[in-house]
Amino acid sequence: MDDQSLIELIRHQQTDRALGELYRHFPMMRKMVQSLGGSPQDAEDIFQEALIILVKKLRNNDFTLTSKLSTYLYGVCRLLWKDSLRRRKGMAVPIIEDFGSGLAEEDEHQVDQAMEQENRARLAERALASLKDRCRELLLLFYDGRLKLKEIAIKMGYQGENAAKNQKYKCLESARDRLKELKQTVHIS
Amino acid sequence: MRPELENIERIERWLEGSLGAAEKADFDKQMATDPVLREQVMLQQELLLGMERAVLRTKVQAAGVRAARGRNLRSWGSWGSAGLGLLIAAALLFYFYSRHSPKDLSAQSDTEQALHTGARQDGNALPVQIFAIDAGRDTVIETRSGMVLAVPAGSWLDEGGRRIDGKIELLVREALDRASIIESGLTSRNGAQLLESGGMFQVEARQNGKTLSIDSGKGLTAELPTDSIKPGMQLFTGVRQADGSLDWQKPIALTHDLIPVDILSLDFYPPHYLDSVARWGYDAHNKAFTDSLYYSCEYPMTYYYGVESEREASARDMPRADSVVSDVAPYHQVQLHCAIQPARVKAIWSDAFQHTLLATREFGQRMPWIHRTQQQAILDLYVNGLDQRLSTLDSAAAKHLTGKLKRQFMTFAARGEGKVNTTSRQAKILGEYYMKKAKVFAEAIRKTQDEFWSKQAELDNLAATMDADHWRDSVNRLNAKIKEEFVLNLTEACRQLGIDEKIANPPGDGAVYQLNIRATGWYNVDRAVMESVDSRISLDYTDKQTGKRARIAYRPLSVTIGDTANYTRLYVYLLPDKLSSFDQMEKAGGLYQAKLNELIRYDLIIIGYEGEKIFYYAQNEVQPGTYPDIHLAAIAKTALDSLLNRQRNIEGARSVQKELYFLTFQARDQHRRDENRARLELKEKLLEFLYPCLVRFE
Repeated sequence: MDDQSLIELIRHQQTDRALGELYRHFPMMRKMVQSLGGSPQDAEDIFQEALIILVKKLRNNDFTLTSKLSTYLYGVCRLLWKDSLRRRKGMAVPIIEDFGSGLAEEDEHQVDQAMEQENRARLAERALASLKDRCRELLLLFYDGRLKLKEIAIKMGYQGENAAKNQKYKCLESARDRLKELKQTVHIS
Repeated sequence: MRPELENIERIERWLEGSLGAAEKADFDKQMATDPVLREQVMLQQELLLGMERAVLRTKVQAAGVRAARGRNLRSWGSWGSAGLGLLIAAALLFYFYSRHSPKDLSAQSDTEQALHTGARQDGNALPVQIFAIDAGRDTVIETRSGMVLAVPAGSWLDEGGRRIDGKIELLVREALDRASIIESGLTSRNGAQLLESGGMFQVEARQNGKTLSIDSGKGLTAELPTDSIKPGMQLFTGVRQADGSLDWQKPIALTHDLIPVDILSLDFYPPHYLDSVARWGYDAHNKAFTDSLYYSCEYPMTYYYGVESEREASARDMPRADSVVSDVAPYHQVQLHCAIQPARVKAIWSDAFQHTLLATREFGQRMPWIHRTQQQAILDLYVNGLDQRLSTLDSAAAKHLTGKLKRQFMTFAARGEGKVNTTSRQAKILGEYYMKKAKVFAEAIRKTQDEFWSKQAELDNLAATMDADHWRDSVNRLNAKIKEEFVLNLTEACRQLGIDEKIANPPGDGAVYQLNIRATGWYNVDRAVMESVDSRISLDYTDKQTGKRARIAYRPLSVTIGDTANYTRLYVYLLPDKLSSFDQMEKAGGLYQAKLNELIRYDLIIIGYEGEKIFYYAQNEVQPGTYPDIHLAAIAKTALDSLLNRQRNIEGARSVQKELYFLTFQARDQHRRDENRARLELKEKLLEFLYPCLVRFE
């Protein structure tokens, strides 16, 4: 599948298929991470994180790909691995830390920003994960499933649209409080 | 809504850009000065990012598991149920499945409550993964941790134990690695004994808020990922204790003796048979129907070549139906050796084989593959080895096979599946029963089929004869009517022209007619009259010799009938008083039309059928013109008969009765023929489906 078709898949809510295709590049990335001192598990973590960044970028219609998709993915993986190594300072295993990503400077800058954003999103994800099941289900149905409140009310057995709406905001409130707590904990530690 | 919640709503609208201009300006202003609001906005924005990430991460991980397996997990067909069975045998699993009754559903919310207030409910802290699936379809899902669940179609029952279809939600909680087991607070305790866990999971399903149970005859198959296979792993069921913890009980060895289920709950049809029946537009859930359809495809079979309908025959420029039967031998015997005989399947898929090896889910998983071998001997092997281990029979089957099928049966054998306790004597008796029954069923099916189609052939012949008779009668009636009307008109024309006519042989019987000519000249009044009768146009003839004119007028009559849509059939007749026959009015658009001969008085009779119910309208001596919006009244068959018998044109009325009798017969017979045609079409599709080696006789 060519790059353009893959991008179309992602922009037309067929992410699962696109991810299946993109996963074909994994062996190459694994080799790269392993050659730079990572384990196969590291490689998979890095690759998956790179896929998250890539898909989010491609969903944005303003984003223009300046190289081949595989090249871009490769560069993102290298940057992510480099970042991961930086965080692991003090590790006993000697590792090579000085390597370039192969990306254009502008792309590299954007990926750095995306990585930063993902770090924040990761914390938010943890906050959401600590919600009650029904809360999490409701929020995911609304924000990811793109269901209307009326439909959610029927599906989840709320009295009506208003009850579902009220519940949604209560859940958001819990999540927000939890995220705030987490941020403080992270800050303290 | 509380003010705090209203504030959250406002932030949400600001984030999605749906605030009005004034509201937005207000919000921006407030944000510039209020650090708390700014923080709230940021947190809410991050939560949205978190949600997007959570969903995307699940997808990415699932793609990873798929890629690692290199399998297409979407399709049950390509994967094969057999592969799943193997996996469950190799997988190491603890399993808890909580059987909530619908009453317990409220208990479930209590559980959430309890969790919140700190009471212990082991396992409930694990996130629930919800899958929306179609209960009527075979589905394979994959969880975040890579557990694969194969859910066969129709494996869910409602509280009353009835099979349900449609969309359902499958809820899965899982703790497959040590970290999640510890985090979730799950223990692996069996009484006082500590177990080594290979993973724990919970499966529940619900539809419209009601909890469903698994049909024990179907069961789900789970595959749990593992790095190494440890011997002695068993399947435990989690039982909730009073303190909220789970105790793991009722261990089942993974290489266990097989447990029989209700044999009638298993699916012994060829693979994709039910899907195909459904695709062809028939009810695949009606087992009585799907059975009779499947068993009707017994071989050596009577492959029927039906009598074509007249319409089809003429469309193909063939002789009329009544001559077809004798021209073509209607039956072809076709011997097919590329499928398991349906009669043999019928013989084993019965109560006689309850509690045997064949009544196990494990054997049910082999059936599609036995069908795929297309070899009777493979099925016989299993049926004749009821006292053996299933794996022994698998090995024996593999020896008969090659290629992919051999590998499949070797894979089955590798599962090491055991047996159902059956004595050798029982096995022998059942083996003999099978052979005897298979033969009896095959014979019975063949006989039923033959009888049915012979009867249909007789009915076809009868219909063809009736059709031919009716056609002949119609031609005769039309000829007679023209003849009578011609004589009537000619007599009147001659009277008007002052010709002394004597018509000895009116047209229609080889037709010569005589006129007594008393003046010289060329008389062609007969031709003019004939043309007038034939085309139903008014006669206006002037005798050139005498200057006399003959005029006979034809005037139009039109009739419209209200509620025509109510009637499946509608006939509009005119009974002329001076003729022995009847006219059928022609339909053009919504209008029935005829031309009335002024010399004749006509009675109008309309008969409508709504299924078997009859409706009637009569009007004596209709006049030229329009009769709009006529409504028919219901009438009993006997009343209609006696009414027709009282008509003054008794001969015409009898013709109408005869005509109605034929038309009613024809309508019923058409229904029979349509059904037979659909039957044959379905059978043809099914034959091609069941017997890949079928050669069509064109």
